[in-house]
Amino acid sequence: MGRIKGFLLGILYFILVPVVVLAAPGNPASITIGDVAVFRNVLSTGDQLWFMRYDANYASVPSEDPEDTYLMAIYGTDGTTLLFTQPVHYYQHNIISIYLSPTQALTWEGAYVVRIMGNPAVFDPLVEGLNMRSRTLGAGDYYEQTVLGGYMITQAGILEDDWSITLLTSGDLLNTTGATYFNKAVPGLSSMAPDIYQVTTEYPTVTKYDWNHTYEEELLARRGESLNETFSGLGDFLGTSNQWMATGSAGFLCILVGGGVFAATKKPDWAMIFAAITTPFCVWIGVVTLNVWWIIGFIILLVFGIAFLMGKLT
Amino acid sequence: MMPRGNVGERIPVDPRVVQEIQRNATMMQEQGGNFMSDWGGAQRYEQMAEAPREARMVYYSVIDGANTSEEIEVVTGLSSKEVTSGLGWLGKKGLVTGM
Repeated sequence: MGRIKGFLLGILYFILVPVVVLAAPGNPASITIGDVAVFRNVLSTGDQLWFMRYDANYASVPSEDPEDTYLMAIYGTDGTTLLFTQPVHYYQHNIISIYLSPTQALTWEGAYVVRIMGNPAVFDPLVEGLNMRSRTLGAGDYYEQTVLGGYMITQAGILEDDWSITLLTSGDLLNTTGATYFNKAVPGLSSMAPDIYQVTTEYPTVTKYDWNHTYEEELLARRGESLNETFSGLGDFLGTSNQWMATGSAGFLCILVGGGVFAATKKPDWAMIFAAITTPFCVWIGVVTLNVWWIIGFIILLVFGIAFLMGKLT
Repeated sequence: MMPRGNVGERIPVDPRVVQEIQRNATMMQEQGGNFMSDWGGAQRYEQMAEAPREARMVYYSVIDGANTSEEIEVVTGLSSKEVTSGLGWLGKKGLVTGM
């Protein structure tokens, strides 16, 4: 009885426990490599871009995701040591690439073997010409970055003719469609060869200047410990920072000075001038930081220009 | 009518590419009104991508101007039996009738 139970449990196990296997799309009608090229110094000195145009030709395109079933691979010069792989994005005639950073870059003009091949987990066995195609590189397959743009435009022309899909503009630049598929096959191509695009997005190069703050710090140090503690205490009481408290106090001082001058002279122009003069004094004693004063000074000049000078002109 | 290589024997691009272009207004605009017109339009292209080889070749030869079974045989290099099979598949789909 125990044996029968064990047997039945064993059968149930095989029925109920799912086994994950990748679906095989079957071998292609043909598999070929159109072009292979290696470019160097494409994004930084010493890096490499390995580009391939392939054709995994199926009579009926498989439903399986091509990223699960086919890949581009770089093998060592012995043809058996796998170095790098990249899944392809499409079946049929298309393009793919592998980018190698300067630390990953391989020997220039080396006789490496590049393959378009079925995923070994899906295709077993892999047979040359059946579900795999190899190309051993020669020195003529290696190019400098300067020819990358022209090479890609040539490739786009070949695909355009075969696909009956417009990839290039009349001026031989990649249109939106061409850019979409070339960027997918060669991530970063828009930075490697921006001139081949009809529309490109580039970020301007901004050199950040390392400002010297020693004078500003020297001025702030003039505030002294007791005044600094006062601002900190008041700031804590009012729920704000030391520097905002100091700036607010300086503003209050300017209003007091301006108000005093106005009370004595009854002239708003003079009140504004004296209030304005008070701000550099506040900077000099370390109450207001120098950069804040530039902003305040600009506003004062603006108000002074509108209220005083323009008033005199009209 | 002269035989032409592999008339419609293979579809050149993964239909996923065609579908992606169809979903993008800018990319469709770039293709103009004749997008995949060699195949009778994008929708027909996707349909033919799943068709048997001989059906695809027959269909493409008909688009290309073949009017009779004999002409299709000459253009495609298919046997009479294959042409009949291809026409049968296309007839069931309502793509080519009356031949």
